[in-house]
Amino acid sequence: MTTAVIGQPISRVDGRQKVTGRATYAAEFDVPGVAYAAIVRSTVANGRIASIDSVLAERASGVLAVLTHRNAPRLAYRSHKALVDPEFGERLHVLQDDRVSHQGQPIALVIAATLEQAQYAATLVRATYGMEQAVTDIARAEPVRPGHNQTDQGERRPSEGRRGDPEAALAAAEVKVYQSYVIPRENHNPIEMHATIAAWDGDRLTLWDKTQWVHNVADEIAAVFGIPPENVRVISPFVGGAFGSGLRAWPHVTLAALGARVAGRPVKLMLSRREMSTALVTGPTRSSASRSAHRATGA
Amino acid sequence: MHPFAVERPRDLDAALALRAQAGRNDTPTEYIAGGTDMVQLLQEHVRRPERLVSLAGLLDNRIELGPLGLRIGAAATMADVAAHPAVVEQFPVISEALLNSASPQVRNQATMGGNLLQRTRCPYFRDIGYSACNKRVPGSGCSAIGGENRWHAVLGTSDNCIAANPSDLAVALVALDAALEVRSAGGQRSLSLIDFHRLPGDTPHIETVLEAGEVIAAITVPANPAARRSHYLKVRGRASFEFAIVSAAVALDMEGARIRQAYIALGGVGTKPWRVPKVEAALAGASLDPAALRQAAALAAEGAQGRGHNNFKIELMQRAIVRAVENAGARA
Repeated sequence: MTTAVIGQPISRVDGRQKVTGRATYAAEFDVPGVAYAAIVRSTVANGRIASIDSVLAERASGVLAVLTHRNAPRLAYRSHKALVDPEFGERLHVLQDDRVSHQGQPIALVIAATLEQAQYAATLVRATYGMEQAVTDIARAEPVRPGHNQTDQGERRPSEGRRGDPEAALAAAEVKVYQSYVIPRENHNPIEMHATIAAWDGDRLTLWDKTQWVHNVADEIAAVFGIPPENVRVISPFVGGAFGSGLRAWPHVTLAALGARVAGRPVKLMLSRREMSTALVTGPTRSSASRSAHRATGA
Repeated sequence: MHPFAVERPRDLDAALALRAQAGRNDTPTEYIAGGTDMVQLLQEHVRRPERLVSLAGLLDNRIELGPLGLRIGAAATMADVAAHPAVVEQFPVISEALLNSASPQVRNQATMGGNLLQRTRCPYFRDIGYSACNKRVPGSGCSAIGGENRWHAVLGTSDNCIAANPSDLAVALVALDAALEVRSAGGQRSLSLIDFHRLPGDTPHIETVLEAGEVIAAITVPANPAARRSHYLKVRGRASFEFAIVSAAVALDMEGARIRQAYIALGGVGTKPWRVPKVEAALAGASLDPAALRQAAALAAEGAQGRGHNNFKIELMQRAIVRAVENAGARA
């Protein structure tokens, strides 16, 4: 079968611009007066921040501000749950309290005149933790039952469906196959790393962001800052790969906007390749089990 | 990066004097030669020197073959040594170890002395996002024990550190009884390469016996008829630009079909380049019979301790020895 579309070679609309270097990605926009942010991340997986010392970082050359949970503005964090967000749990309220829930969680944000100054000053922030036992093995994790099927975009598809009588079929089966499968955690690592530039004008915010869903970013950041979604403009003309990691608005987007508000000037925040492994939680470990009933013939 | 100043002394004596003022390891003043490892560690904030003393142009880079053996200036690049006709012909294990290291770009830049001083690839050492690493922050603990440790050592480990030494070159050189000429402001000394790297013990942050201010000036490899019949086998996750999961350097002194003396060292499995004298002794007088090789190779596992993900290395290193001996034995 031949069709007019399927199987025919088609040039990507943005292909030429991407391969000739004329595509402008989020981190590449030239916003006048921009400052740079670097994130300090937790070095433990679970616990509370016992102490955090940012004095050396604040004194380092070029530093405009250092934000921690102790001095960061309290944010509205209105409820916002998009279709792509997990059914269970609540998003990280970044720099709002001393709780550490995962290794690599942002615990401070340094804003400086240059990228190098921000990155260096970030290494000067010292934190100590009250460590608690972390669960790093899915087999030892406490199971939770998804129950929050309502999203801001409507009801989720039901996670359970049923047809026929599986228990009776299994009871009567000549051959039963029980299997379990574990898919390890996957990190999405596209060529373009995530980046955000945030610029405030009064209570209106412009974000140049790597995202596959500009409206979700606007809705999420509006909910976090307690402003109307129409006050948030998100610009994302090109995405340098994302594998779906650009569908959600991650905590670093909030941090860029927070940094820009505190510094009183636009702020650019780029994730490093190393941060791509902890800043996004894209494909968690999955475990599943199956039971199937068969005839002796294999059918 | 931590802000630092680069000093470019006129000659080696001036460089040695600058460095002599500082302490032992990870101190405010450090040498930099090819920089292929140092720059990575600076970028990742793992090393934070206040001052870098450049050795560029100050060290010998000649490669010379004489009746006593091979002498390689510490500043010779990995690429130049790997391609040197005397090395290729008479010490193939060295050339093969180098050509299986890193990438052409790195080999063009990296020096032989620096290769022996490169720091471990343990991901916890190289990521300051982990607080526990005894090698980076003494006394902070070890994230690899009980963590992701597929790449880590099974020989020479301690409860404080299981990081593997990453150098391929050092494995080949240790098999051939290489020695180092070391210079300092106080003078010169020679030491055998097998004694150069230290076991981690309680002080994994001190990796070598180099004293403050000392610099490797040259590597010497004694003349050895076995070196001609030598081979470097590297087992790794991909065929290029990857460190060894397991490697074996073998040189054979043969008498007809029998091994008179074997020289064998292992990489990827030890906290330092790992010589296996018991395997060598068991192979003295043996033929290349697979069962005999297998039996001798089993002696390498003595004292080996897996930590979970790296248990497979204990079996794999024995098979690597067998394969490498067979390959070397097949050489004319």
